[in-house]
Amino acid sequence: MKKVLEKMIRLARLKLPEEEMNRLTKKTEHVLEYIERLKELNTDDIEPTSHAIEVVNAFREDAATPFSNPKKIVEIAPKSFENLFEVPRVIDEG
Amino acid sequence: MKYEAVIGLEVHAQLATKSKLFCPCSTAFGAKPNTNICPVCSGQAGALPVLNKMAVEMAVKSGLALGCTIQEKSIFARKNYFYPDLPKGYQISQYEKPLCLNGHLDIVTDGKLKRVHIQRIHMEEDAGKLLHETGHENFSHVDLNRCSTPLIEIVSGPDLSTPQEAADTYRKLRNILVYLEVCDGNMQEGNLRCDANVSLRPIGAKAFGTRSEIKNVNSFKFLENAIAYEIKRQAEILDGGGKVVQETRLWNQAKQMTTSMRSKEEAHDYRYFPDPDLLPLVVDTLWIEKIKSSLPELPEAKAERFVSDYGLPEQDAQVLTAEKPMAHYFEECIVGFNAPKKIANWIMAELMRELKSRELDITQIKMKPNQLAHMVALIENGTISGAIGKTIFMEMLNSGTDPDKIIEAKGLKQVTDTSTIEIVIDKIIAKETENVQRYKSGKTNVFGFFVGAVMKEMGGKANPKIVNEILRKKLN
Repeated sequence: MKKVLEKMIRLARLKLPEEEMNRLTKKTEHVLEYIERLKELNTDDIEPTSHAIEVVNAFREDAATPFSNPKKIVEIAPKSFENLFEVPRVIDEG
Repeated sequence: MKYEAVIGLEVHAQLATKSKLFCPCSTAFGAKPNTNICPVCSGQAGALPVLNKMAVEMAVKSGLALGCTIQEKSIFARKNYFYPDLPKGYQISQYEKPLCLNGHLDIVTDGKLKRVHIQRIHMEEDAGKLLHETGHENFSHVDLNRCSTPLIEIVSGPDLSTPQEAADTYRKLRNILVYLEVCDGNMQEGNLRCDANVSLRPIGAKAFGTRSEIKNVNSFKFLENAIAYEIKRQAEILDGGGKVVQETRLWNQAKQMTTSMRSKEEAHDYRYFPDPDLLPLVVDTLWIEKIKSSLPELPEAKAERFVSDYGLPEQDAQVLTAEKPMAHYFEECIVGFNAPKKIANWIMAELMRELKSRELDITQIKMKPNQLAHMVALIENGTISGAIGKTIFMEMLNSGTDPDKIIEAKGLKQVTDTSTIEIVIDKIIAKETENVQRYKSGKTNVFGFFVGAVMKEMGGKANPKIVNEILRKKLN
């Protein structure tokens, strides 16, 4: 269980102290046990729930309206350079 | 060992909407970095996405044109991964319940018809753009203008077996999307992109081999090159007793090879789940029917019509309808002068050759359809010869001047006045006594020489039929 949790935490870019890890491992085990119990139910004819409420379709019409202050969005980023967001170097080409 | 290739395509097409998929930011290409961004597409806490209705209609249109079943209910899901071009930490896509399923596309490669299965079409948002060449060694930079522009991803079945078939499929998909006006199809601007999954298996085998996914192919030619390279690379690995690694590879056109790409996210664990911010999308029959009735004539139907209405050979009809603007140009010409085959010949021989050598497309030229039509009419009614027609054609293409004006300015009108032609012929016959003797002694093949001499003397403007008649009379 701990391994699974460690992987999830790594994927979510989180870092947890050891005691927190232990606490969460136990908690997660309980959650998964509960899900195992739920699995006993026969759900063959039930559509998987994607949303809790039965509302569908909210649309907007296709019209372009500029946001009032896009510059501000760049400014509140941790780092920027000439109106570009600045991030640690990432490059895909191997 | 002999192998057969198994190839499938994933095509990303940017939908030609004015605004983004979930917010009202403009999708215009080439804007200054980070000017078309807002709290929604830049992933600010608490911002809520609202679906663009036009994007849905365009996606449905694409699905219908490709023979898909439109799903009444589809669901947007979050595809989670961390990358700097993705400010929310997830991409909104469709996973388990895409909008369109089970379509097909017919391609003809080397005269052979093949039906390619379209597994699915789903809607998703694009990511931002990463810039690496901003002069900083330790940093990359991000422009989020493209972030959240609407895309459809079209996934073909693993039905293709040669690089040519793959390129033909991609080409035809592009043509259909451009016909539908749901995508501009501009590969340079990246609004149409293609990834190819390639694997090999021994001929006759049923099971698939391990595949690699090739990214970054932004032209039909590159796609062919990349797949051909990948087939060779995998065959060499297998022949050497090795195993193909399942991975993503990038095509490098300059080096003419694919190179392995480091994985974006370990183990590709995207942890998809339904996006709670977006309601399920329901497209009912009424809406589908309405969209269906708005579908334009597609390439195949248009080609059939060109055969039945204009009496064109099937080959001509295929060539003329492959791209919508070309088909439109042709039909505009027909309005000007109703001689379909003659016009088709000029377009397919002269015009297409010039477009190719000048690297232009039909929408970029100065010559208007009615001008081309009028020139062909002038040839047909004998005002100009076919040879002069070519001169005028080039002039029209270069300057967009009306054929009548070119004829007048350059004095290119065909001479049909028999007495004028006769004077020239008499002059030639008087000069070319030796050749006249030859002709009279039975070497009638010098006749062509006389025609050529007269034409040269008259700057190509003499009516060839009249020249022939008078020459024959005089020489016999």
